Parts: sequence; structure tokens; C-alpha cells
Amino acid sequence: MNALCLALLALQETDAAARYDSALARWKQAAAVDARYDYRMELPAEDGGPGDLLEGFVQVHLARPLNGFVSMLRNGARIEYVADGAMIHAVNHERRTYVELGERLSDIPYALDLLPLRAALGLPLAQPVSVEWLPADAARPAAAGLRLILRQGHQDLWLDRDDALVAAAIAYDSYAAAVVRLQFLRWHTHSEVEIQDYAARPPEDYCRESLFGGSAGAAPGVGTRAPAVVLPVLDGEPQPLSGLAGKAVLLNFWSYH
Amino acid sequence: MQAKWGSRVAIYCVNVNDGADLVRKWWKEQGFPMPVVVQPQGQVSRAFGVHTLATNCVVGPDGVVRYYSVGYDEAAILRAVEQSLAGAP
Repeated sequence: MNALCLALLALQETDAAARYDSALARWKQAAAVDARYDYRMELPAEDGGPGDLLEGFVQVHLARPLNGFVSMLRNGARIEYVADGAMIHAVNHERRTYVELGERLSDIPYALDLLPLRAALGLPLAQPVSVEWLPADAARPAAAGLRLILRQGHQDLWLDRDDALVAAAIAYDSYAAAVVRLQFLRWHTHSEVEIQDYAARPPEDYCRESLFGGSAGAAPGVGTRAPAVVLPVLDGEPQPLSGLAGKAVLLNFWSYH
Repeated sequence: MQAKWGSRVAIYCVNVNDGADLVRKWWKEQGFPMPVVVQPQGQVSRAFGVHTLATNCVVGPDGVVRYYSVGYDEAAILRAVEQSLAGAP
């Protein structure tokens, strides 16, 4: 059983705040730099009946607080993980309920609802974020696309129809100055997209460096020519991407932390 | 994936923000067969607009981006690779 699992179990106990603190401390101490927690839990239903089942996984990267990850979706629910133990919660948009598994403002520099966060920290709202719908992609006809215009660049999300869809993304701008969270209602039952955006300044020590090597550019659109880059292969010859013509190339961006 | 398509697919794991020593050690420990890219200046991440990890991008045999996604959706990645190969000789 991994540390996050312990933390989650502890949260189910009555003295939630104290339990959360101690669980979080244990969690942080554990060497769970890159842990995966498979979960299966039931969300309480408002009417006291059987709740929705929530299954999926949370992937955790502790050492680098800005490596957030959003978990999987099923039954219109999700668990969203925000790094460094900021908050873990489960959301059921269909029923408009959610379960917070842990929060403490002083520990949570971001990923809280906008208003309490702003009130507590006196932080300004981020630049407005706009959203454009993207036409369905030939490769993913059963999906809807959204382009999120961030303060720097943009990020595209494809929302699958058959996911009973709730999709979420945590996107960071390249200076780690803002966190944008977007929540989408089930897109095939609601024509409007519900968006919450908020921003907070991460703790000082998170701001010392940019995670992504300075100002990140825009992602290349699907269907456009890939950028002409040379891949500096570790202990090998630099590989120009153009030299791989004729092959399908998968670029997987990852970090140890 | 490599086993399935052999030399028709090239997989590069592009590290973001770790040092070469750490990556080398980790790669050895894990015994991953695919090449790993270390970019001290983040130039590849920048070119591909990588803001969030994990990000996966499939470039087709024609040099055109066929898939770009944040997160890790293995089925979708496989599909994209397959589709990008389907049109190629």
C-alpha cells in the first residue's frame, strides 16, 4: 500500500483535518516520488442512495510540485490530483457533488476555488483565459476539442464522448505563475462549458526556476508540420527530427521528478 | 510498441528538466530500450510547446504532427501511431 493510499484512508476518519496533516506528512516523507494509486471508491449520493462508483488512478509526482496530473474519468466523476498534496478531490458533475479528500489553505497555494483563495491570499486573478471549440478531428470523430488560450501559448484538449465526459486539465504557464483549472460539464448534455479559472502565486521556492526551460512556445497543431528540432540523445548522436522521415515518431515528454 | 512496429516507429523519451546524470542512472536502472533525450536548455520542450507533463506527440512519417496530448492515453497514442503508419508506404 503506498503512501498516498494511507493518506486517503486516513482522510476517511473522523478527525479529518488532523488526520490529513499527519497523513500528508507521512506521504511527503515516503519515497513516493512517482507513485501510482489505483482507486475504487463510491461517491456519496445526495439522496442517500447508492453513489456513483469512481475508478481510476492518481499518479503522483512529489518532488516537483508543479507536476500535476489529472486522473481518469468514469461515471462522470474524476479524481483530480494537484501536486505536493495540495488537494485531492473527487467530482461528480452529473450530480454536482464532490468530495474533498483534503485541504488546508496554508498547505494549498493553489487549486482552491477562486473566491476563498483570493480572499485569503489577496491574489489577483490571472489574465482571462479564453476557450475556443475545435472542430472534431478526423482521427477522433467522437470527440470534441477545446483550445484553451493560456497566458502563454495554448493547450488543446480532446474530450471523448464515451467517457461520460468530464475532462479537466491543469495547465501551468511556463513561469509557474498561474494555475488554470477548467471544469467541463458533460459536453453532450450541456451546450455550455463551465469554467473556473483562478490563479495563485506558488510558494516562493517553486518560482525560482521555470519547469520548462523558460518561455514555452505554442504546441504544434495536429496536421501541421512538426517543428524542426534536433533531439540531443543522451550518450548518442544528436538526432534531427527530419532524419526520421518515413517513420512514425513518438515523443514522450517526461520528467523523473 | 517498438516490438509491434519495429523500425517503422521511433520512440524518443524527452526528459524535461533533469540533469544528464540523473537521467542516465534512472534509464539504466529501468533498462528502458528506447533512446532518451536530455535537453539542458529545454529547446525541444519549447519547440513543442510543452507546458504540462506528461505530454505525448506523434509525428507521422511525413513529418506532420498527428497527435498531441497532455496526459497519457496509451490507446489513443497507439491509434495515432497506427493511423499515421497506415497512410505511409
